[in-house]
Amino acid sequence: MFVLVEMTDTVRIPPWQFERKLNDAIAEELNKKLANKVVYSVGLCICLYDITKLEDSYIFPGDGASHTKVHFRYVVFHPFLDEILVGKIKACSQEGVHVMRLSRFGFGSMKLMKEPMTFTWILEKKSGSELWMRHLLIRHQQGQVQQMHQHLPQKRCKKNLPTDSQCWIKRHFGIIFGIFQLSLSLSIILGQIHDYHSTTFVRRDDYQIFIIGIYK
Amino acid sequence: MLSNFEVFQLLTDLKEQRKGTKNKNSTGQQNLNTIMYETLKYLSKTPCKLQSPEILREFLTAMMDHKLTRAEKLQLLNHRPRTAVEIQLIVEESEERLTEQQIDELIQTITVCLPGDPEEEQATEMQQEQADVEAEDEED
Repeated sequence: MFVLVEMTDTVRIPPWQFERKLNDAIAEELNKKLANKVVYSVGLCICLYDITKLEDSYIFPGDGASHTKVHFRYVVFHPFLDEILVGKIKACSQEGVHVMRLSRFGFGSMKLMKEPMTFTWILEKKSGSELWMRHLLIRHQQGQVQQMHQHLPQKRCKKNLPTDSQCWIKRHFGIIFGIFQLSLSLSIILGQIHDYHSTTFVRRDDYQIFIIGIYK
Repeated sequence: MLSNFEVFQLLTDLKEQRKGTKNKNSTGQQNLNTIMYETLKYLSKTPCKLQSPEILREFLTAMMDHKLTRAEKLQLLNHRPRTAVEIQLIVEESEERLTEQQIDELIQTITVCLPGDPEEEQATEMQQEQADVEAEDEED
């Protein structure tokens, strides 16, 4: 979920901060610049991990501030392809066709907007009347429409899907993460099934969402 | 790649450090505050809250026999799966790579090595007891 990214940048320290230790001033500036921001092709920057190297500081004519080139490592939120994440559904509308709005711990950029999708729910025998869908696998892909299908118990369908490792923020679509906790009361009880897998592939322009495991 | 636990530790240390300083609420620091708060809130609901470096080391040595990729071990660590279904989700092609017995072993190792949420475990115990009682009633 989180990755350490090595970056380099030139940090400007204004003169009124010269009394502070250089490392602290630089750390603060870097956090100010990058924290809670999404960097293209990198991910959502969380916080500074450490400073690897500090080069000499220069003062340029016309500007009293010092400029320092810094090599540092930053903690970045960057889920890899096929990763499983857990979250909560924030809102949804009509059954069958949903416009989901997932915001998992405040990442506002993670929204599924104006894109309807369909879900299938499978009931695990133990759960009785409640159904919980717990895992959502997110893939960011470009590709052909995949089929919708359901699995029989104990079997798994394998699909070799094309992978795409382009930047994961496209226009204003974000990566959608989420794990749903959705409770429905169903009166269907499916025989002696203990584990039930259902995989639903839905194609949405540049990303796909797979619901792989459904159970309580 | 970092585990949830490492990020959690980093953020709690950072929070301690920043407690002393004066200008936390300046507009520039708002972003950092927001992201720290949200991430800590989320991570404190995951199993990583109860982990420690020793536990991690133990877990990784235990996992060495099972031939899992780095990403799979990381996900096992972050999610602490309790059922075979979860493991099948996490481990790719688990039908080909792991027999049922191995999956059970994995679940065992995970339950032993990684500390779980005490409330949840109580709840599952109670459920099991109820199920046992019902089974006995049926027999009678």
